[in-house]
Amino acid sequence: MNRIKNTEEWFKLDNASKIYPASGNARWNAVYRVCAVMKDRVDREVLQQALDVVIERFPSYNVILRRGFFWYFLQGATLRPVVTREKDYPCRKFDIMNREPLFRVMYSGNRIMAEFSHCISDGNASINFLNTLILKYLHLLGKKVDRGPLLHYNDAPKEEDFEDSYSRYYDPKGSKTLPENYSAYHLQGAKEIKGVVNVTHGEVATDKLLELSHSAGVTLNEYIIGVLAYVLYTKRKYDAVNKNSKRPISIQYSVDLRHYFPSSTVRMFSGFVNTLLKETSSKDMTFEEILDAMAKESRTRCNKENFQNFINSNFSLERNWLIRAVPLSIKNIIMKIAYYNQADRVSSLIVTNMGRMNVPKEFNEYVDRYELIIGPQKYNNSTMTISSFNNKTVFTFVKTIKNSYLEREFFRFLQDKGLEIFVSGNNGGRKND
Amino acid sequence: MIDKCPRCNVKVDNNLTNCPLCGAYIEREEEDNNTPLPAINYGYPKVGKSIVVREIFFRIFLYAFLISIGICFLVNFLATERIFWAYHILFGWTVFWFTIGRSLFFHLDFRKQIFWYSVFAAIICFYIQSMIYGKFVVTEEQNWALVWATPAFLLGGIAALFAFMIIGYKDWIRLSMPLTAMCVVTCVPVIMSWFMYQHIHFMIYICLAVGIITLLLMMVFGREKYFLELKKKFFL
Repeated sequence: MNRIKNTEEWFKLDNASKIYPASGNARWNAVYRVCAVMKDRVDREVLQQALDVVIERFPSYNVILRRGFFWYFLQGATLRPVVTREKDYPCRKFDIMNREPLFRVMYSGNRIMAEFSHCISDGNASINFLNTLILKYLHLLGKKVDRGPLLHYNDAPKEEDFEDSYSRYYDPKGSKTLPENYSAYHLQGAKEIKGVVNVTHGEVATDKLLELSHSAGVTLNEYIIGVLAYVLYTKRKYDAVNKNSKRPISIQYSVDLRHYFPSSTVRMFSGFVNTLLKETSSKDMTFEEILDAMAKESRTRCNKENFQNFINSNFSLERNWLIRAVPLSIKNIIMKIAYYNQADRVSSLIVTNMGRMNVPKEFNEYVDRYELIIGPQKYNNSTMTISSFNNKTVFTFVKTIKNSYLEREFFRFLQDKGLEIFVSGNNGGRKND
Repeated sequence: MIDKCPRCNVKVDNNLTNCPLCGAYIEREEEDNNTPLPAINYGYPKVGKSIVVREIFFRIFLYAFLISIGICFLVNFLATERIFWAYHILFGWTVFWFTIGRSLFFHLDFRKQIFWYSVFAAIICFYIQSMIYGKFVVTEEQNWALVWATPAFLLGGIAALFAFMIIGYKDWIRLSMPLTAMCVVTCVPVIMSWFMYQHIHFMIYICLAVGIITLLLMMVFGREKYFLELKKKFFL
């Protein structure tokens, strides 16, 4: 167990989180946002009261990142977290050097949002936190809402909540995955100033989307990946011939490992799958061929055995005495290279599908939709997320380039298939600006 | 009220004047004062210019640094056919960034940077000394940077950190690790002196003694808290 008792609270970073502080720097770190759009305006005072209670249930979130001689570690923050009004671009970096806690709760109009550093949690666990916060918020407003499948804010935190599930499922004798060794195609475009993040949300009806994917004989996730690969494939065809345009298209999507390895940790426990578009002939591929190729690739790679190998290979590195004994400054350089090679270089686009929200049915009355924003990556300039709730599926594109080709063509494709799209975001000019 | 983009044919949020996908202007019906506000606001707040200004300032600094270094090396080489003074500009910029520039730009706690200020002050002394004598290894009598300046800066750093620890005694543990590092660094002049002259000057002994005493004081008075901090810092 990584939790040290009877002393000032501190935690070791879990296996997958170790790469994030090392790959970050003073101007960038991995941040994501989970957000619920409420049907009524948010009351700041009540939200603060709710947060004061709920944070006791999730003590591993109110932490700061500190630098040890060999590893980074997390230490309990001494200050109470405060709800602030949103006034910046989404996923602003955490000021780690000045001991800013690695999570923040904000509100703006109808939105309740929480931003997390990837060092402390993953999307699924953070959604649980947000839902528990909303549950308490609604209770404080006097609404009658059942707890349903959510963690209750009055329960005491359990030891299992803080475990590093990677270490639990590590099999020292098991086989390991080989690192990917290719450079993927990346979207090009005029870059925004660092810190500026363009967000575009597109909302569609979930039932119609499911109908569309099932009629194509694939799952919703496979269908979306297929459409994205098709859009990238078309874009690449018309790009100027250069090194980048000759590279393969690969879409990386994250997977909640709790579905494969039972765990109740509220810390990071996710893996990822790289789906590479295999172009067998020199002829132009149709959408159906791309969809078929991506779905097959996804099915081959997304299985328990592969994730077990992924855990084994990552954890065996951490257990290696030679690596452990190297000072952090040197480890940081190695991990920066590893991050570039294994995360950004091998994927054209990073996709996260939160799936359907598992919340009490009373939430339908108070919550309009959920949004998930994965902050800009260090080298890769686009990410996309999917969240579904109350028959509304929200696609969120986050970019650090000005070009909006990807989302435009993606939504136009869905529209051509008969879906109605509602777009919102922060990059379409605002009234009264 | 939600209107459609004429080009993309998607519904566009009322908060936006242009379509986020294609940039087309969304013409909306005239709104009178009696039009009710939409029930759900999907809009984002207007972001101030501070991020952009800060980033531009950072770039100006970075480009000024790179261009000035480049020009200095070029002028130096063209004028004399060998490079000697351009190194000083590079050294000056580097020292400025690792001490004042970095602290100011990232709003770092200057108390925690005292360790680096002392170390860089000692490095500057070695630099000036090697410029004066034209070589790094000099006799013990000539080596004022090692014998006087380095111990003086280390002692000054230890004293300053100790004073800040006493002033903010409730949060003393926060400065305990920079102070520990400073105490450990007092061994460096001892090692250097021994290797260069097989003799250790009394000033260096004093510096080492103060370092050891300070460490012992922290161990005795800090006890569990100090050892826990060490454990956190050095866990494998």
